Amino acid sequence: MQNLIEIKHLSCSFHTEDGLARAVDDVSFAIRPGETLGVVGESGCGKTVTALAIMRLIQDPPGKIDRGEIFFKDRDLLTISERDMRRVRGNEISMIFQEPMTSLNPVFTCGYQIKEAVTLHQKVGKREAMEKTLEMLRLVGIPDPEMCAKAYPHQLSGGMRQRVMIAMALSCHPSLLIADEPTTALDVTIQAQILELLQSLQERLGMAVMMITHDLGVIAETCKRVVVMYAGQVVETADVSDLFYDPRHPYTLGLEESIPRPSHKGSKLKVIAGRVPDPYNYASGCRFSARCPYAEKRCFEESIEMRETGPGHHARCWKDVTQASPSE
Amino acid sequence: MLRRILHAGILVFVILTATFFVIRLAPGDPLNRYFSPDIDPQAMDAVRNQLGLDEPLPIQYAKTLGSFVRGDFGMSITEHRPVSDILKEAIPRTLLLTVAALLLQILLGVLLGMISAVKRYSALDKTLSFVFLMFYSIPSFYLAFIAIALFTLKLGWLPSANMFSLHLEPDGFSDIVFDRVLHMILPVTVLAFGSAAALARYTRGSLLDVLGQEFIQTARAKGLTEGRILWKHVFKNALPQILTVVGLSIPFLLGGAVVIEKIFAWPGMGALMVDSIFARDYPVVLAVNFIAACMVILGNLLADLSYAWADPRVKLSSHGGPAGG
Repeated sequence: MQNLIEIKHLSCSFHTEDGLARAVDDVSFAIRPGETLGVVGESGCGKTVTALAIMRLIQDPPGKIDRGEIFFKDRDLLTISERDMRRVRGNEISMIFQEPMTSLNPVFTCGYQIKEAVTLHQKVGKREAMEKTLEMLRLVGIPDPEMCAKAYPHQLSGGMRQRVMIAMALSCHPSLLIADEPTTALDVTIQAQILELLQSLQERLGMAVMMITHDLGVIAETCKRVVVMYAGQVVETADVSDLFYDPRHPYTLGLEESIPRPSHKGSKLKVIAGRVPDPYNYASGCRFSARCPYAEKRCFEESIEMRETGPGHHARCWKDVTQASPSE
Repeated sequence: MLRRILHAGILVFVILTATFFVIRLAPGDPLNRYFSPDIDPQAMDAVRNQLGLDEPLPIQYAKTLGSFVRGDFGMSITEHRPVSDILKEAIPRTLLLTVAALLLQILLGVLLGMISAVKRYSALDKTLSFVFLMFYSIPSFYLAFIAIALFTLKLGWLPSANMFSLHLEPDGFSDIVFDRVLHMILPVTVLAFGSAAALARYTRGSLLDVLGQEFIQTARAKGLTEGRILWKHVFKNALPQILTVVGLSIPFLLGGAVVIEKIFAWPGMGALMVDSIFARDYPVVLAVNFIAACMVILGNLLADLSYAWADPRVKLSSHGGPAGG
């Protein structure tokens, strides 16, 4: 099947006073139309930077896209003009953010902010835009759309605000929605509601979703395919069931072992020892090697390439972790 | 709102009282100007009696307060005419000067601050920041002298005194306006520059603050142009802060007008205040201070109101509200 978006060898860096931070390093993955791709990894691993690179919203300076191609509907987004890119943003690719408290503008009504996106990308009159706004608010399950449209963001709860954000992002029926930790800042019950909403809207509107999260639970619930990122690199890509039942990268393994489980009640929670490497100063070799329980000499010396470990399953590890036992 | 007006009333009363007693503490009295070695002391006493200056201070105070409440500012001792007549001439002149300076200050401050914020950390921004700091640090009287030395004495482009040319034979109304504007350029610019520099720095800061917020990213992700983001999304968020600084600059403008009017021989309230203090013209001193206080309080009140208008999260309830007022 044709890919909706294909990211090839994307590298981004940030030039700061402390030096050069390689935030995203040779990242490649693809999303098919209508598919949900999960991107998982801990804070600072380059998930958000990758998403912002797709939107071409990395602030320059200090950030820069150094290399790579982002093919979206057969166009390389990194080479088109800013003007053309603006027509893509909010229209064909939309984005929602982690913090619904701060991602809506406090001095404009919610209705105005949705309407703004509608009138920007669609040739509609004032009344039509307003109708469209109310329709979107209804679609995201807001009980009283007229009220909500007139409300300022501070008058709504976090969950409601995230619904407004979703309504805004989907108002032009994008073919790709980038959701950057859309539920992290919400209560658990609201999280479930928002995830459910996103899933039902995705089916209804037939869009693809790039779900960025550090929560494997969210991945398990919503995604078909998963990209695991570590220290700016993709370390594993797989179908969601393969990833959970047959992880091939020690980092993924570590992540899954560190999920609290009711059956392990009373025992100490497993963690991945050590810390994320400094993006200003990556050592040679595998970037996970310093924390990896399976690491051998080779891991510290050679840079490790992605390799196919099964159908549609790739990992950046030369060892077969299912067979190996942790070395000291 | 009601509470705020009540506060304003109390404030005006306190200012009035303080002014009344402080000016009386100063040595001398309005009759010093008539003094000569061969004057008859009894005649002096007669005049003093006529002006009511021989009565005990508390009684004078009560009488003054009473006439203020009735809206009567009394008679000027030096000019022998009602203080209200003098004010009627002086207030519009000062307003012309300060309002023009206020507008120029807003225009320059907001625009340059905006340019600085958009081009942050560029050479232009650094140059502008240096210029802002320089103008902010130079006292206005010094700036006035430099301006006069340059534009009046050396280049001879602009007049440095009075509100109009004495020997102007106007050829229609536009000539009068042109002549007035010509006379306004130096005092208005000098008056505006210091606070414009301060405003520009604040504007730059608050715009950068807003530009760093997440909802700006949302606006960009929507596909809006940078221009629209700046003028709509950023500016409306920074507006309350900018308005506060503008409101706070009003007292400085009025205070600065005292010096500037004196230097540029602009016959407004500032000049009147200085002259009346030296002449110990008590009624005029009181009235001018009263009007100035009212203007400052009104300015702050307007700033607060516009604050509430600009930011939907602010409500002007009777219990507190935004800072100041």
